[in-house]
Amino acid sequence: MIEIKNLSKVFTEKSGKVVALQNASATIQDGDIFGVIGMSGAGKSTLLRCLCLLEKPSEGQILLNGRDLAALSGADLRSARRQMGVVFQGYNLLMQKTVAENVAFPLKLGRYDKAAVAARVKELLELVGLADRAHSYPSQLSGGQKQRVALARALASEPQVLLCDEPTSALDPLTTKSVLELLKDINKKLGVTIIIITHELAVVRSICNRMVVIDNGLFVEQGATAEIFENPQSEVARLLLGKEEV
Amino acid sequence: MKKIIALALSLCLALGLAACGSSKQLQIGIPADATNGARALLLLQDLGIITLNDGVGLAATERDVKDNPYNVKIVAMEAANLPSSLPDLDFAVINGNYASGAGIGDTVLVTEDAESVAAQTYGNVLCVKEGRENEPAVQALLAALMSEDTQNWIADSYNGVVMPMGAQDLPYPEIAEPVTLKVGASPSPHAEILEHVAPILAEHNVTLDIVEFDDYVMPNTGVEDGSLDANYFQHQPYLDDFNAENGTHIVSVGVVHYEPMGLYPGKTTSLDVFNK
Amino acid sequence: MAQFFAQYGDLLWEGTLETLYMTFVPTLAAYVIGLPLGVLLTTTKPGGIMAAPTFNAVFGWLVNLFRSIPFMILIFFVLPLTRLIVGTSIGATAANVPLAIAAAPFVARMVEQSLEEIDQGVVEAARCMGATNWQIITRVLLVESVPSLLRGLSITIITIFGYTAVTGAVGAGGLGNIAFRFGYQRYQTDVMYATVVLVVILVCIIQSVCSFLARKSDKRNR
Repeated sequence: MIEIKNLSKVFTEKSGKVVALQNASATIQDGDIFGVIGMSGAGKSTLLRCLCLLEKPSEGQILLNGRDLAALSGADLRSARRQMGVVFQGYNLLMQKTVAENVAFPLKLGRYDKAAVAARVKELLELVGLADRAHSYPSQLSGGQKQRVALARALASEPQVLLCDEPTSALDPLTTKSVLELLKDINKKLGVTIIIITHELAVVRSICNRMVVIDNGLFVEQGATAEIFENPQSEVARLLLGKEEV
Repeated sequence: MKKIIALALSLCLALGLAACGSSKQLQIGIPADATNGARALLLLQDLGIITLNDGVGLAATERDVKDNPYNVKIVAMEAANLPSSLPDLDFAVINGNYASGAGIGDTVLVTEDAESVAAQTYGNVLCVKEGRENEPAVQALLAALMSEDTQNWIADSYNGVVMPMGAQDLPYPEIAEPVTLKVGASPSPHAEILEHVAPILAEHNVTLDIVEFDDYVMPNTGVEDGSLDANYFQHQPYLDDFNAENGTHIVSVGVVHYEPMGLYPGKTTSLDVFNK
Repeated sequence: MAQFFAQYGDLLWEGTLETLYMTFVPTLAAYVIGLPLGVLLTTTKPGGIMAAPTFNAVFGWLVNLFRSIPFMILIFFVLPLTRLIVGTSIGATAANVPLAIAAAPFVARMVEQSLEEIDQGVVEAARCMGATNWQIITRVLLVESVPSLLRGLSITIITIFGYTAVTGAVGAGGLGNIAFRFGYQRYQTDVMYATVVLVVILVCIIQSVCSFLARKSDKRNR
């Protein structure tokens, strides 16, 4: 279970203070596929960066099974990061390494056993359907295939939570569908909690069971996906859902 | 990839070892520029350290070494840098002015003598316009410069950096009417030497007007157009070049002094190593 | 032609060896010094993985300072150090010290430039996976930038190659020195042309080998 409690992030810039996230709270149950939707500039990426512990929140807590991740540093922080698998919008693969080496990368950061790593990489590539491309380089793959590699890599360290930042926004509709199917599949098979940050309504509608609408750094509305789509309360949600004219 | 890197590294190593191969030779530094380098080699030849190919003279390079009985290694390098490289050389042949500037003038082991090709060639000359060589005042100036008194004074005053060509007892012509002789010269040592002879000339009715120049063109154009009666700042090869390039008619009346190169000690302090 | 080579062949061969020696040994040394410096320059930048803006500014300034010293002056400036390191201040081995010192800050900037080309997202991804700074440097930055580093290497080698022309000042020999002393100063134009041709050939070989390796190592465009 992940609890986001009163999370705030304030950036101090030359022009003054910028509040990117304000007093955000949410609870994500184990096994949820949780959608975070909002327009660009709403604070989605700041939330993601806080969740994958790249950015320290100004205030508040991120509790993973009761342990506050926001307060960690050093080796504890690094090991906590391994609890969070991240899939980026731009894939962020190592371009000079093969698919197999990319997936093995997180496994080789600590002590490891060569044979175990090889076996795990094989297993992961089979999971994402790329077993035959193990020795290809990312530049030889399509966008959808790259995202699958990124997914396999994010899952390598057996994280409890999979964070996906706009995982499909660079993909065509057909590929988007197959990647979302895969995410659903992984959620079911591995029981991993998935948080998807996106601006695409279709993504949330098709796979998220719960969701939050973020606007101007605030969580304006959250709950079961079906309910919000049925009966949006906030103005932003209504705008996003196209139930109100701009 | 790793193989290629390993190959590159071993290549570097091999090259390194190849370059380190030659050691234990006596190393003698000489100036790298054409003229001074040749002078240095001629000095080494005069000392019996090496023998050069016949007839190379002032065109000699270290490639012209014919016999090298002591197996010395000639290292040609920037002339001004020779004094500071002495700790790494056994000997170096250095121009007097650089040695003096580095404060090692008094350590010199041996210098070019006045009879050497270099001294004869690069001795500094007193010059006038063609046709004025025999004017009494010019002859008087030459006599004063070449007198035993002046030549000894040069030998004593410059710590070996400036050497006299050797005294000559020339006659002072009779000069009835007082004359003024206007002479262009470099500040040191030429103007200083002229100042030394001024009182001597005064006794012979010649007043010396010394004009100092910092460049090497004006004193010659002055002599050519008559605004100077004589000049004293250059050596013969420079004068020949100047005449050829500018169509001037300036001639030398006599060689007064030379600025010798000397052999200076580095790691090895005595020439005894060459007596085997 | 045959006569020319009989007369100057050994001189040119020796000069070529000296030049190669004075090119590759300092290149190696310059990378040993310059690679860590370049990594430091990149990683301590604001927003870098070891951000230290003040240190970075001072350090960058120092690197520029060393880069701005004319090479000829540097040779004489570091003479005492040269003597300390290689035991002599003359010859090709001695020339390697100022060559390496002159090239190290240059290498640092080349490395910095190569590392900057790497997508910041890849570095963040590695951080998310729990990589330490050392792991990010050795397994992401230096690995991802290999093709670019190799292209930088060719520029560095050729720059040092050019520097070797003036090391004749400390009796180091080399092709540049031969061209200047025997070709230019003594009006032997055939020697000058021969050295120029040799230099051009060597530079072409170095450039092609490095370009080939860079292309071969780059997995982005297959």
